[in-house]
Amino acid sequence: MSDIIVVTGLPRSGTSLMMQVLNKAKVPILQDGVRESDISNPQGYFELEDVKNIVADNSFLDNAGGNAVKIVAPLPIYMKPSLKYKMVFMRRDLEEILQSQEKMLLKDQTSEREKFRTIYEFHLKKTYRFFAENNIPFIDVNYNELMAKPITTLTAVVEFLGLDADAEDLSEVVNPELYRNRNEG
Amino acid sequence: MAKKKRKVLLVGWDAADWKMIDKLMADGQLPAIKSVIDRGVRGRLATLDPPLSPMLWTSMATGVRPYKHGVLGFVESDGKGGVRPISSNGRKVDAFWNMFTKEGLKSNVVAWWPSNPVENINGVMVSNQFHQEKMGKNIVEIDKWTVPKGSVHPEHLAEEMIDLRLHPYEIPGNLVMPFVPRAVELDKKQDKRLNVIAKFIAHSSTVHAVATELVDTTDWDITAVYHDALDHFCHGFMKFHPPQMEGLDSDQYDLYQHVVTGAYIWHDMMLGRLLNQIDEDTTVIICSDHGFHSDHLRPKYVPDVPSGPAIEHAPYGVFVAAGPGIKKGEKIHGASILDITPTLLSLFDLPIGRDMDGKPLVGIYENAPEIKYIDSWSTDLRFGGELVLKDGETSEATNEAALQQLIDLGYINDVEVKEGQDIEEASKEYLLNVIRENNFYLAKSYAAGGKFDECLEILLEIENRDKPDFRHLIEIINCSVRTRRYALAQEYLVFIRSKDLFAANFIGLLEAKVHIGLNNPAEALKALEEAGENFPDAPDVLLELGRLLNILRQSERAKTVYAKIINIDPDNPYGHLGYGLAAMNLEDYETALEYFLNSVDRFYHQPIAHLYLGETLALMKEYEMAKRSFEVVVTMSPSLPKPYRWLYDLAELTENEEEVEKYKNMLKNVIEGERIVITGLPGKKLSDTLALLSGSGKSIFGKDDLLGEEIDVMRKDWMDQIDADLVYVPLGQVGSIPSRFNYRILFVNESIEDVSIYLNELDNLRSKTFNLELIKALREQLGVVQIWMGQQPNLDLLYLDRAEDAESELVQTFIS
Repeated sequence: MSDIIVVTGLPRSGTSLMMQVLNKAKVPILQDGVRESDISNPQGYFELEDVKNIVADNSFLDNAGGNAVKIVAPLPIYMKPSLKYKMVFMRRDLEEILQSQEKMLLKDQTSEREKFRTIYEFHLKKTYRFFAENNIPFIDVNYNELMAKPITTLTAVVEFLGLDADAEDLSEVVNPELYRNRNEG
Repeated sequence: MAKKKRKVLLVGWDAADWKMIDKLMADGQLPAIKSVIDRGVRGRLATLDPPLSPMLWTSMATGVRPYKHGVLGFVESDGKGGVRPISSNGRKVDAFWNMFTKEGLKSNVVAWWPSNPVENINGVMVSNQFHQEKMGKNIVEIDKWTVPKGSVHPEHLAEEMIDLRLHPYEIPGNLVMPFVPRAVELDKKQDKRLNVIAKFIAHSSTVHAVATELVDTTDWDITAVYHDALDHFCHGFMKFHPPQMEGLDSDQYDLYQHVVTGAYIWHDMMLGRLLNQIDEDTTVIICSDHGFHSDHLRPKYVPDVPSGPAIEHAPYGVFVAAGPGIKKGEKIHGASILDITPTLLSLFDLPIGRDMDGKPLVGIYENAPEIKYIDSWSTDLRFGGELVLKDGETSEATNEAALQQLIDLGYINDVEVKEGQDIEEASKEYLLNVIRENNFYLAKSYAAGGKFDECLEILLEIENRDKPDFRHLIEIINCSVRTRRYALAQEYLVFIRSKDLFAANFIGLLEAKVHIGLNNPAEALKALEEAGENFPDAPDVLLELGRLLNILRQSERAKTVYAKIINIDPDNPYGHLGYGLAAMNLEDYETALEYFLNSVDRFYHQPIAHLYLGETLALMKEYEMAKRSFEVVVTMSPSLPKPYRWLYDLAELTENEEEVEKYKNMLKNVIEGERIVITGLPGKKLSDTLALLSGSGKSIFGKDDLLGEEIDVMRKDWMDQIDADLVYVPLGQVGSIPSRFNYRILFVNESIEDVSIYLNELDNLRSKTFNLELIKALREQLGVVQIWMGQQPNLDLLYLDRAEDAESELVQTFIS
């Protein structure tokens, strides 16, 4: 059975964007359309409600081989280690992630920045540890590099996932206008 | 003749404390425990944080910390939206009764907390719910009193044991009299305390009756009996114990001042009966999970938080062991409650799990046995006993009764239905609070085991800014400092300053810890001094202040602070340690020796105290005694290189070729490499010292770059490539030397003013002769380095006050 492609990363690190790339590459996507596109993600979220319940029930992964699914960090640690995966790990500067989240939640969390930064550091560490312990192959994709050099970055992704797609075509999905929460400081 | 089979009687007295026992023994009031002590060993048993009995007794029975065994707090979710008393269901690892079952040994286990539902082990198990006389919130009449389901294994024994139980209603007034001699004067309806005492007597009598019955009627290898009553007596009545506490009503004091003494005597009587049932070939172990403050350290009030009464617990329980092959009349040191199960295993020549956090107490044996190890008992798939009831099958009424008991004791709060809430909402909130609280205990257990990241991760998830809990915030800041997340610590400090949650001294203490972490001694000192002004007797503040003053080598002031701590609590091991260190820094070795000995006498398991003790003895030329101290450090902390180095040096000094060779090899194994660093303020003295050392044939890296203009400490491998006898590191860069090496640091002491003048006389700085800005900068730099050096366990530091001393034997030995 083919590997399950899992796109992970912290919320607001470009996971939906990577799902769009995979969609463009004609990879079947596990999604249910429950979460609709909005101003924060105009192209859609490509999410599956079952993922939210992964702690209690991860059986949705049983027949997911060959599909791509988005599972934000640290939820991949609840995946079945017995199945085969290829992980695309979206990474973005934490300061940018925090700003982007605050903007999305319309909430000023500057007084709790360090708290959330530390929590996210733990989430990242935990997710990587799970990959290492279970020999799960992954590729880190830096969001900022994806925006700056989409073809180079996507060539590496295409190669890692063994996709039959052209990185230049896929790079059309990357819309710099979405990169609006960049940390200018 | 075949070796006689070992039998062990293990008696657990929750909260038993040496201060009480020693006093009452001296008065001849505890003959039973005295008889065991007289023919065996005694010691203190360090408790764990948090000091909550179900967690502690499970650690005692498993040899692992709570984050491994999974039993957290007093209550847990029942999986159906409600809560129940903590049960056996949550335990994730084998207890000693499972290990013994796997080995075919028979165990009697009575009333262990928690042990309900019981397990079908090889032997008999009677749970901590067997003696429960309530159903729901009501007391059951004697004729309707049944045995709770799942509280006895084998089940058929439940019927036979039914008459061993004593109902509180069966306790006659004359049984209460030894506890409250003027009980007849009391109106029982007005003062419920007599009923409470009757209940404790009834419960402990039942536990005792079951234990004595099993000792007599069953074939056993180990009988383990646990009494919770002493802890309950102490929580209820220690405040009435002499001397009379300030503000306590004199009538109440007169009435109840004998209760705690009575409880100890009562437990000793029960022990005496058990001892009469066994022969001298049976090994006896008596232990407690923590102590209980009985003197001026009794807290004046109990905080209104879950498990608040635990503030009355003292950090050391008791340990006594006597029997064949066990030393007589000796003290053992460094024992922890984690060591009980490994020690039990060693008594039966069984292997210790490498996954255990405790160690066998080999010091109890006349001839230490060979200790065997296995990876884990929990992965040994032989049958060790299973719970007799599935999760959720215990009686809800029994659970409710046990919950009520915990509420009565003040360990947990009852469900509170707030205005506008229905009972369902209130219960849901209650459950969430229970889960949150248990997560807090899990986090604390991680921190106590040195796993600060794990602790922090949990606390950041459960901490709620809308409902701040000061315990969470303190722990977050402490863990942030321990993991060097100072920005996080500061963010929380800003938050707590904005709320009226803590006393100012506490905020000052936390601020100081952050400043020390940031190598900012002036600010740390300011925060502590301010905290000290408002709360001059706060021990935490004084200890941190003393520590900082020692780091800054303000030794006279440090002595004053530590003397104050010792005055408040003469048994504080850290007070004696700090005083000793200050005296050592002042080269008053005799005083230092006295205080280091005091410190290790109060708390033996302190590798650092033994290290200072050894160094003091070595400086006093007591080489053989010094060697013994360093050997203790090596046993306690085998990865610390410093004692090996000392042992090597002492072996050379005493010309012991065999030991020279031995410690040379051991040193090689523990250190990757060693560098000798010379540093100090860049003045004339440093310059002269470098010249003298260089003249004596030593190659010195960086000696011509006094201000460090060419050195790049940010390059990862800069230290690796140095092939010189000594490395000169400018003071400002000392904190950046790579931690993978071990260092001997020769620190050239010179006054800041002299250094400033020297620098100004150099061509490039001839602008002023006395440059205040430069002095300020040098002072800051010196403070930063002092703080950094004061916190490095692996530094060997020698201060040089005169350049010409560079040629002395001491310095030459130090740098060779």
